[in-house]
Amino acid sequence: MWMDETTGQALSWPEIWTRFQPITPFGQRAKRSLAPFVPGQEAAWQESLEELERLMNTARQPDWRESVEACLRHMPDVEPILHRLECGEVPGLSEWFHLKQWLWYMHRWAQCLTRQALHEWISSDAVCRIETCLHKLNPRPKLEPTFWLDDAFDPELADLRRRREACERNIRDNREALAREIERLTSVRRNREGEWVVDRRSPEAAKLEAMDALTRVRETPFDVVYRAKPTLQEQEWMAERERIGERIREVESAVLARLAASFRPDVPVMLEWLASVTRFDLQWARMWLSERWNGCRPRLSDGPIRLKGAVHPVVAERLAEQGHTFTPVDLEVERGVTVIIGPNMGGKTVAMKTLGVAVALAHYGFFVPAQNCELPLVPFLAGIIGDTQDAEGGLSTFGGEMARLGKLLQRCPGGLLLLDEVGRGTNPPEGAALSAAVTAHLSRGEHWAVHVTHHHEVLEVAGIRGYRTAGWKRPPDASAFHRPENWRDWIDYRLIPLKPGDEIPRQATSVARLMGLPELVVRDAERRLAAQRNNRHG
Amino acid sequence: MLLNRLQREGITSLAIVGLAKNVGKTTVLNALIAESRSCGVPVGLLSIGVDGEERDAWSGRPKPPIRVPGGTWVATAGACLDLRGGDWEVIASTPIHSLLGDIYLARSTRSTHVKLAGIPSAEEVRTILRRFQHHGVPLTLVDGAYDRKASASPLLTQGAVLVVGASMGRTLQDVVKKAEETVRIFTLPVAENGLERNAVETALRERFLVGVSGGELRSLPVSSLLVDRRVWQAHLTREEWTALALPGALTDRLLWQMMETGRPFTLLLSDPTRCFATLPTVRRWYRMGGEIRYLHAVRLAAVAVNPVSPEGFSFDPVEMKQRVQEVVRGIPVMDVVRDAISTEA
Repeated sequence: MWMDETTGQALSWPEIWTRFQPITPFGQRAKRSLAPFVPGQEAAWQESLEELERLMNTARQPDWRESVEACLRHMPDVEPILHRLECGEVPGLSEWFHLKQWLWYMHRWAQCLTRQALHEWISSDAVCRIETCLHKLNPRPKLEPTFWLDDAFDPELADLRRRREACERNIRDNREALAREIERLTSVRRNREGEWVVDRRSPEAAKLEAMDALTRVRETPFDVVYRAKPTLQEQEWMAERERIGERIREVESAVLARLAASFRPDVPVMLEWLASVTRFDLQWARMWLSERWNGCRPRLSDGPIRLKGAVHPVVAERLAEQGHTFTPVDLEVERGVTVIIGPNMGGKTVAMKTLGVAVALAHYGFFVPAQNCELPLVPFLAGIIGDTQDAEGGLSTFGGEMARLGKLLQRCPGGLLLLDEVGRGTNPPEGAALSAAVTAHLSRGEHWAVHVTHHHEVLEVAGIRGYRTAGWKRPPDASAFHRPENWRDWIDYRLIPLKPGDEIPRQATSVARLMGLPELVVRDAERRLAAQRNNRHG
Repeated sequence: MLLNRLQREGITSLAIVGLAKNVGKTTVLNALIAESRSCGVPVGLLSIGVDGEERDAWSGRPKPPIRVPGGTWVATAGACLDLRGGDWEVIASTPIHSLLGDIYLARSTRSTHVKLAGIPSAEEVRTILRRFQHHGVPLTLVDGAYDRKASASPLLTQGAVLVVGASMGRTLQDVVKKAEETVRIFTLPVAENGLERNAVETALRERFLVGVSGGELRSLPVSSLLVDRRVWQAHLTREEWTALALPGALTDRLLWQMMETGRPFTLLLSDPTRCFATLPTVRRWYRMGGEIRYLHAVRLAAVAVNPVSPEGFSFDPVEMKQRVQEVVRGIPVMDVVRDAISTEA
């Protein structure tokens, strides 16, 4: 698995994935099984991104864009119908209609694309072949989007239907003449069903009863209902109509069977068209997201992952809702380990998650919400971010974290590892030792590891690269906080490369004070810290 | 002819509502469709519920098929069209699903029969009505499910035909009484007063009871009369209400509970399909000094009578039509089986 669910949840991947909305039913289905590009697929990855870039450039024309989208919106799901055809089955009327609708909008879509010379999706030859298929379902020269068993499908069908119509007309005319004659002889008029309903006590009832041309069809204690008996000639027409009707049904079945047979050789190419439009729909949905994020096309790097101006789209949207802006992340991660330090609430974890999201989006073929993005394809992305307590396994937070870390460190070849404060779940001295040891191990390994930490022991590991978040813009002072939510305005979230001699910031008590911990408690903590320092130095 | 008259009045949708099972609703529907052929008005057809099956869902009795002339529009499931595939042109698919499958719009290419798959919700019925209008269908007949007066809602269709059948009671007196009750409830007055109309609109929008007192609207902190009646009865007796708008339906029980407060006022409802109270209880409310008014009226285009019950008995058709005509004064009464076509115009 390229990215497990735990990591995805920590990166807010489900929210991002929900924003990715293909239009067609087959596009939506393809989204469910979409796989990321992995090492070895670099060429295909760049090709896909180039294709997306070209599409985005063409889609800048609003009219064209609207036409293409309208086609996608109207395309029904024909995959089951194509498979039925492939199996030798004959679709029903509504399924033929769906197939015609699909071909109708495929034709329009293909024309839109070929007009813009986007031949990578569908060739000019295919446009002609789609039209040929469409004409199979539309035997008259003028193409219509609806479907019916047109007379033109079979000369016999047209003839039979004409003959049936003639029979029906004869029957109607004969009935009408008979009815007029009956009504001339009595004062009773027909109802809408062509029946004579007469009060059984009325003198007209006896007249109607005596008429040979009529038959009694039903009666109630009040009424008797008569209908005209079919004449011999009418009976012949009715029998003829029945025979013709039977033959019509046979011919209609034969027409549908012939249609199915004539489409069967087209099924493989229609499945190719379907695959093409499905891929297009996915790219179209990627395009929408790229535009929404003002994304950049990720480039293949020779080793490091480089991000400039990267944004976590979900976090950025949440901040925007609260009237804040996301500070873009500049970051370079090489094989080995990159450490991020900084004060609490300084944005270390968000920077790491932004990296994770950018890398994941790039692997799934998206443009990345950043000004610039370079990366190699990595075999997997995994993180230990937040609480990894294994409830089922009965492990504590620390136990769960160690179990997961143990598995990740053994994965080979190396992928992108995102570690959020390894060892924080146990006592500080042991946690710090573990944190430093894991960092030392990763610095020699194959992973692109990022480790967010508060342990200064980590900075002593040889060969690490790293960043610190810029932190508080000035010495934090509770009086500067006019409103509690203003604290974000006093933090500089930028990442600054670590220099030799950089120390882990000690601002926990200041943050605690700003967040509202009682002053007495904070002062007590500061006294204890001072005592520790005095003991160490004295 | 009824359809010609409706066309002249600009009505584009008509519900066929049966007041009980087996009253002959499909027969009336077929008669109106036949009329559409003779007056050259192509109709659209759709059904609410499970109508269109070969057997009545409640009684299991065979139902008459729905016969349509060429050029009739229907909204039904693909499987229902496949039965006579050569007789239909499929025009469009819809996003609506029924028990029998996805719903399509289709037009008959010749005289044929059809099953109408039920459209599940009022909103989806509105969608189909809009689509038919978009395709230029001048009049759509909505075949309401058994005893679902909701299909006659003015928020759904512009008019309704009530079907009164012998199966509604064992005696003609019972049947006529039930017909009278329904028509009288359906034809209670519409609220003309701006304040009262505003009260119902507010109640429907906010889903709260809204009262009119001293020439002002006041929302009561009660969303439904189904909550503890002492709570809302206390609110009703606290002030001199001249009117009270309900966001939901009115039943006999609620009306009796209102009468318990001894404070009559004008009750305001969305439309007659929201009034489930019986005529005797409504009459008692009026005698106390109360009234009932609607925001939207139902246009009763006709009452159709069927003197034959599938149980095997029947009433004198002349007497039935005459007695129903007496109690539904002003509304045309028709007997689609006995009325001769030449005397209808």
